[in-house]
Amino acid sequence: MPTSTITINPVTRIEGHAKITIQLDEKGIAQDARFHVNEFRGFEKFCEGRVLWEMGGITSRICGICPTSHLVTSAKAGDAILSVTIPETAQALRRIITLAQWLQSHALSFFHLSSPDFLLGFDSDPAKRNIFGLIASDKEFAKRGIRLRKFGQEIIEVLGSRRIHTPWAVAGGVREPLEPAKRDYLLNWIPEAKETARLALDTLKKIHVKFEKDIPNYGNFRSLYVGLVAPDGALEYYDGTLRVMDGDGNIIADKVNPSDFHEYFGEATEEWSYLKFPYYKPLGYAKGMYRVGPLARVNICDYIDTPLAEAERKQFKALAGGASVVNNSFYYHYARLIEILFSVEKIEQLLQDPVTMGQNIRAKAMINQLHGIGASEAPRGTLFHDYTVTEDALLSRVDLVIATAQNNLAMNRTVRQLALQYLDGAKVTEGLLNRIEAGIRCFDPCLSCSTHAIGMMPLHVQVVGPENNVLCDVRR
Amino acid sequence: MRSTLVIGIGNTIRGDDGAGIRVAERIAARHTDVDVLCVQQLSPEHADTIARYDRLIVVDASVTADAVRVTPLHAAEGMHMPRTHTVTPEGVLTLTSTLYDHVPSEAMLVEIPASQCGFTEELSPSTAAFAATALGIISRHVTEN
Repeated sequence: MPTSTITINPVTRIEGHAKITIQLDEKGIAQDARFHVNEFRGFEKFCEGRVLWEMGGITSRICGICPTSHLVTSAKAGDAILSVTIPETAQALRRIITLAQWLQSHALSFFHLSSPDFLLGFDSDPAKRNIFGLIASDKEFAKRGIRLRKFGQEIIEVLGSRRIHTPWAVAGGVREPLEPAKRDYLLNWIPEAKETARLALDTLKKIHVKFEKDIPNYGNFRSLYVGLVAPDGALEYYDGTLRVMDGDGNIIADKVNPSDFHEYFGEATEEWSYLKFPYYKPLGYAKGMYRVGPLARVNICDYIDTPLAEAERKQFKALAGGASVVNNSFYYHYARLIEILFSVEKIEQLLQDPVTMGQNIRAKAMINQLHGIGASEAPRGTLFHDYTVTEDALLSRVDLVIATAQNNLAMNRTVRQLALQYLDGAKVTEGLLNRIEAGIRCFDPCLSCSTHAIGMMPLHVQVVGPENNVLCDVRR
Repeated sequence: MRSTLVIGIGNTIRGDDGAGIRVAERIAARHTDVDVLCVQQLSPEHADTIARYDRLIVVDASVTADAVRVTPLHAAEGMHMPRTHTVTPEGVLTLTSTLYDHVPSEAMLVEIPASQCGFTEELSPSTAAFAATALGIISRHVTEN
């Protein structure tokens, strides 16, 4: 039985509210760790009764960071309900905006949220361990990060006429084609974006050396990995089929139609969190723990079809030593930067493709199926929108399976591993707190999406004894 | 006229919360020489945009204001931590100053009283009236100054 509990509430620099509880045994050793998410917005419920055509606009409001992922995935669920194959121009444009979403979200994660830890140090003054501290340390690096994210936002704004909550992707395609002048404007950004992606990768490799003693403790364990791959096994972000790989690199399920997701994956709940616990059904809960997102995608794909990113993928794979899977969650950061580089390269390719400039952008149809599932790779992992509609296009059931939730079991495991390594009795140090937070930030969780919660509070840590008496109370 | 950027903040499907965006959209229609940005929230990369302007006007809904409120904005002294992806108007101005050594010579926040932020795209009658007032104030200001 645990004899005391350490609570970190909430976690800073992630999107949304969360609390971490570490349960200690009589000897003060971490027995268990729980990453609680204690907010609930109920998006799935209040979407019921709305009209299918509104769903892109509604679900994109779930999150201010990845609204475009919800928009595109919602449109894909709509495609399934209309039973249409969208025009190739519409698909190319949706691909570009999906990559723009990766770009801006990954840039935010690396430059704004995680870099202060890396460049200033986990034990540096918390008051300075933020973007202003980063500016003071390396102004040009901080500016580069802001510009890279801006490029992603510019693409979304140019395509969708708005930076956030654009209603541009719709069931059947997209609303507007891309004008040549706008394409040229976006192409002008490419050299700077590539240079920044390279700078970030070079910086991260130095960070790997600097933190070589810390890195093995950041969620370093075998798990399953899940994501979309292209028909030829290439890294996929918009379409494709699901692949499940184990922690030794064995492909245990492949070519799974995303519409069959519920046959392979279940969602467990726990009374102490609003965040669900998805798992791979054949292995059961919680043995079926899996990871999604950049680490999973770069692990499971056979190759990346852009040259610079593919060269980096090979270096990434070398981190596994003789094995074929990189199981350390710290390398989410590396995979994220590889995906930034890939996004820039792929966006350039797509913008230069004449198909992208076509004028046939939308297939129109009425309701032809009463059920449809859309799937795409959001920045944090595979995103599913599962809709059931009436013949009048009213939503009767909505199930949103979010990337952050799919990493829930792995995030809990990561926190436990860090607590075992760094926790000394019930003494809570800033360094310990920030390492645990940094462990969670490897996954770049978006609680706004996963529970549809929104908000932010300062850090609060409590150590609670067996009689629920507060042994230690730390606030940042 | 000085180069002017108006940023409307809000969520247009949450009733009165969309007032800032409604006003900003009408400024765009009325003043073609004013650049307008509509966002749900300010974020760090807006610093890169703001640095290019001489005047910044941020329009947002407020549940604490009981009349249209106009407040000058200043870059704060010292380091203020932006809260994850979202930044306050003062925060983004401070970020602009720190990163680019330049801020607009004039910056203000215009707050519109909001009371009904339910699931609707309509403004409540009272907020619609306050939005019209805010529109008049901003319109006059950019014309006369």
